[in-house]
Amino acid sequence: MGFTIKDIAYIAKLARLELSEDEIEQFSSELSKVVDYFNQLALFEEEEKEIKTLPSVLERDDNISVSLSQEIVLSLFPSRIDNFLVVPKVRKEE
Amino acid sequence: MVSIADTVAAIKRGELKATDLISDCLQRIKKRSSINAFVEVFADEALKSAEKIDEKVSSGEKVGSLAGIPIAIKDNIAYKDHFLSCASKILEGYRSPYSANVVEKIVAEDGIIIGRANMDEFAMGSSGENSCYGPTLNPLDSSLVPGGSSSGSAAAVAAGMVPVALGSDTGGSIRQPAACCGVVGLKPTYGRVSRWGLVAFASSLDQIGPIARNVEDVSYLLEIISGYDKRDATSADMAPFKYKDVDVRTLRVGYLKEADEMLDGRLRSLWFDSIDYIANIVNAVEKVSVPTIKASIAIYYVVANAEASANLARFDGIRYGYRATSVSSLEDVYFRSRGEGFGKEVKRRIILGTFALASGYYDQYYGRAIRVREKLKSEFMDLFSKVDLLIVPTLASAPHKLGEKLDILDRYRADIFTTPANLVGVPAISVPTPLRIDEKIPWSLQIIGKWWDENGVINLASRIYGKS
Repeated sequence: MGFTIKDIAYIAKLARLELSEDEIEQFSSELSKVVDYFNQLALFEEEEKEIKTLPSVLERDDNISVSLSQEIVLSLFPSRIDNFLVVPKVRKEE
Repeated sequence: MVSIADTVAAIKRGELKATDLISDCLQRIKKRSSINAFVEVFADEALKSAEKIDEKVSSGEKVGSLAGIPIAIKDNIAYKDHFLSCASKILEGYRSPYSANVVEKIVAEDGIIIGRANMDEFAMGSSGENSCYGPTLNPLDSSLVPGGSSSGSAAAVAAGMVPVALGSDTGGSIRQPAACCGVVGLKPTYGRVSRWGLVAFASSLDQIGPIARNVEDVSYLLEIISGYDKRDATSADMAPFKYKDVDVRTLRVGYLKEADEMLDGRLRSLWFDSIDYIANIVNAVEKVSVPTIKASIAIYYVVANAEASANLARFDGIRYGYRATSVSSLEDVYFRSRGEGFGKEVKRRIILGTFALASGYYDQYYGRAIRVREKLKSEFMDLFSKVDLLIVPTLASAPHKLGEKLDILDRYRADIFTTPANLVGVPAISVPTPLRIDEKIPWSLQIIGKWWDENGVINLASRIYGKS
């Protein structure tokens, strides 16, 4: 499979990741090769059918326990006013 | 070479001062700072901790089993109130508000965290070149890469800066740099060591482990850092590791049939020589086949990148770490902070992982990879019903020149012998043999054991590498 520049730009958008034009161009050729290599997994199509069980997902008990203090977490914010996290405006101007 | 156990004993008897040990270690770090093994050294703090230990000893107070031992930690392991960067700009200025379980255990035993070791950004890479702090050099030959991603941890041990360091291993990141730098590195069984406080790369594969100058020290540190931790849901509810002597002459050891085809030139002949070498040590060697091992790289790079793309979604510039400035919207904060904060290899892997999980491709890549991974696991189960241990090479190619341009697939294929132990979850150690790749770099062998049999791999490794 070949990645076009458009494909990479689309995946980058899904990943919320800004890429430069150079990176998009470089990744489209490199990653086409890597994904072609991944296609060898198709060779296992028949044997895969024998695999019935996949590992189960472990879930921890949902118990209340001591966590980090509010002040510690707030102190990590890149931008803050009192106890609020500052981010750019979310609503677009009408 | 003095073991950690002997050093601690000397400190406890008052024959050796922890302050002298730490000063000596700091001098060695300074002397070889061009290796770039550390991104930060906690010099003053380490000396103060050492003074406290010396005071305790002189006043007859009890000290822990790591009293005064300097330990480097890979910069993806949290140490309370210290910077933690994963060698990435995106964690610029971030100080961890808590310590990893392994760090708590080391500190509780009076071990001294001496500094943060350099690494490939977010543990993504096998050469130590992908760091926002610049590459680590190989102490055995500074024109070569030290391997990765625990590049600084392995280089610091190999350069004699510290007796032991912690690394993390997702697809070979402890064993591969250990082999490139001629030291010992162990990836424990998945679930043996708590991952609480390890920045997640690929959660179904990541495992913390020790790198040391000898096998005895690796075993010693594993006894301290292993054990159940309820804060890590994948931590196994069992007692910590305890070393026991095993007569290696009773062991049946398999050697990987498929390895021949994956090696060439000098490394191929070293591989054959190492099989002969092992045959003289153990009860019996037999050729064993793991056919699906050839698909390890494909499985690994789909699974690891898929998990990484999800794990790294938390770095969005909002709550901590680096935030891009002069942005026009909230969305712009995400895109630009991530675009400016992550290095190229991390971006490449986020793209691959996002693709493997994308609607329309999920079953073809991620779904298929996790099923083939189960097949690989069942082959390992069969294998360990026939033999006690499996030997494979650690490196598929000799350490390359620093800065050498390599094809992306060749870089990824270099992990062919190390990724299977992560995919399957079994313990594996890389240990230098008396054979040599060249004058400077020894040839290391990897010993893989069945689930929870760190003791088997450690025993055979110490027989190969001796106690020094």
